[in-house]
Amino acid sequence: MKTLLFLSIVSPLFTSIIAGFYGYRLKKHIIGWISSGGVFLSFIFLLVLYIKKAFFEMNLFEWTNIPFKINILFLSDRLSILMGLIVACVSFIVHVYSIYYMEEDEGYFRFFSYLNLFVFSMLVLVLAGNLIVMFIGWEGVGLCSYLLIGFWYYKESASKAGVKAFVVNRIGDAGFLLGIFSILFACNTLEFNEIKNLLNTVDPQILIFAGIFLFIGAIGKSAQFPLYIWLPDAMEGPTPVSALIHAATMVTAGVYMVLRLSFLYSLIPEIGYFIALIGSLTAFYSALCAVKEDDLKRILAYSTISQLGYMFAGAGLSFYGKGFFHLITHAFFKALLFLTAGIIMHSLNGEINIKRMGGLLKKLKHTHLLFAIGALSLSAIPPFGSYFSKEGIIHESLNAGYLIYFILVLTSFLTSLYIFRAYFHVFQGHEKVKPHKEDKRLVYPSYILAFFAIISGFFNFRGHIDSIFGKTEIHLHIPFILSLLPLIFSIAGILSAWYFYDIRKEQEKGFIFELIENKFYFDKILSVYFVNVLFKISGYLEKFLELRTIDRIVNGAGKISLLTGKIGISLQRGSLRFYLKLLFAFISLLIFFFMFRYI
Amino acid sequence: MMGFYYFCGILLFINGILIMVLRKGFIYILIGIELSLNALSFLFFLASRSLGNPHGEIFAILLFGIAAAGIAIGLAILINLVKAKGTQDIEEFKDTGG
Repeated sequence: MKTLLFLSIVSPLFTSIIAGFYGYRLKKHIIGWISSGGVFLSFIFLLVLYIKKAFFEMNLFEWTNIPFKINILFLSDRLSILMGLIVACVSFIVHVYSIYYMEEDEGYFRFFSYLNLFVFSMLVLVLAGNLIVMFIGWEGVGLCSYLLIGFWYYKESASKAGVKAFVVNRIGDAGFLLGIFSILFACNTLEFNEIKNLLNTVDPQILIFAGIFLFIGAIGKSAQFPLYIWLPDAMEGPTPVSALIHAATMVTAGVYMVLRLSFLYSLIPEIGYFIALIGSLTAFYSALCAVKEDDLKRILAYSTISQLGYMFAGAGLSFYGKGFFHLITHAFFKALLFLTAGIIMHSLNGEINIKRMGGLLKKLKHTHLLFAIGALSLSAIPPFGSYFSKEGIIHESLNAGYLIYFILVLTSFLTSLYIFRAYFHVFQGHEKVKPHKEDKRLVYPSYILAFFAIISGFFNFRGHIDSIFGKTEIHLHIPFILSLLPLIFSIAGILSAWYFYDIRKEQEKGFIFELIENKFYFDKILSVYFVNVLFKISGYLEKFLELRTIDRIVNGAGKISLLTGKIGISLQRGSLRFYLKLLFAFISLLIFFFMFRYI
Repeated sequence: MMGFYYFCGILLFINGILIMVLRKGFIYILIGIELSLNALSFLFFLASRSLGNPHGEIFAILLFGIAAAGIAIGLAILINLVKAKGTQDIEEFKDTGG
């Protein structure tokens, strides 16, 4: 069994090396299938582990024991193996999709090498047995994300977006490292199972710090409120990358980390409430951004941020099962939406602005069906998987009061509004660009994802996922009308998207869009009442503070450094012998000094 | 008797440094560096003998390697200097600023 776990982690790395070093000799499709095969193998191995319920710790080797012991430790339990299964499954489908999607790209083998390396790092992250190994995987996925966003490095915007993602993630990583240190300080160990047993004896003050710092790491990776800015730009990468990394797997790593450390977060519920608040506000805000956006992939990116907010809301309020459940369903339907966006882009020669699309309903029948399944899943309409998960989160959030509940309900209205706005623009109305025929080879892998998106609701059959976290959620008696509210809001969102979409003019009318277009008149109110006053105050400040005090200090500092510079210039003669003389003179001085001191 | 050898080594070292400081030719400076490095390895060797510890000898061998690498780079620089101005007098190269 241990060999199986080891092989499941290593096989994507192996195929990554094959694709990277020998890829240029092989035919394009062969590389693609080899890479997909590596991922498929790890999927099969993980499936065997999960079915046989082989749950254990695997200590690969001891990395160091100075000043504390760090093992390269992997942990197989229901959470990690299930997450690994989701990762491997979605990765495999996206791999098969990109065999044909990237067909005409020159960097074909480079792409598959990076993609496999990503799967390897993600599996290391997911199956890690201690925080250090998790951090290794964490950095690995960050690196692969950077490489794949900037995959078309000759496009300046792409390479800039890659750098942006990397730098923003560094901020989160700093928080994650601080969190690791505070856990180390508190428990003197980093292994999850040992931390779990030790936590009750630890000062809760330190735990609060650890919880906050680790959550900063999760914010960076999962693109939550202050650090969400990198994800919309990350859409510069190829579409399969957006589907796999920036929708289904990597961005959920932050949520996964909170779930992994659920024993820690359940001890500090006040931090948990804070997490849920950040999550729900992010969900609301980015849903608003998505309503305003015209770029199809960026709409999906904002929607990813919004759904991640839901997961954080679920996990923060210590309904870890619900958060994890939504993570799973989201992975399937969001990857599906991205893949269909890829097909649409392919058949429209890379057109991505939804205002310039239209009437694709007749030509792209399969794509239409797939996109509709994805969109209905995203809006959480009953037969689809995400209905159960999202509804679960929204219902359970009633336990923590009405604030988060209403934010989430309002967000579900906006969610179906923006996705169906995109749907109407893309598929209804007049045909503006004549599409190519859709590529059947791209459609089939997407159908597998659509299948999973529909049935993923059954994964939580009899609380299967809830029971991972050891406790069943408290079920409030919810009034009937409140339990129907999220669904009503979702359907209302769809209907209003249809109502506001004017078929003749092909653009939205109505007060909601006017409000959003003008950013809720926020700027105007701000500029009248706030900015003018500020300008006056700052005018006075400029006179007294800036010119008379700070400027003098600054100029003085400049003058001092000019003076010292003049002294320094006289030493800089350019004569080697002079330098040598100076060097030896000072060394002999030093030697004399020490001799007289010690003798 | 050991003291005499130490004295010789230090003398050699100071000799190398004096060559470096006082001569103007680039080759002389290289020779000075070599001389002082050799004096150093001699001292290391001496110390390892008198203390009965093999580390000094190992270090001396390492120093040979470093000296060889240093002289290779030095000669390459010398060739470029001569190509640039047709002389190896380092006082002529003050305008390089270093």
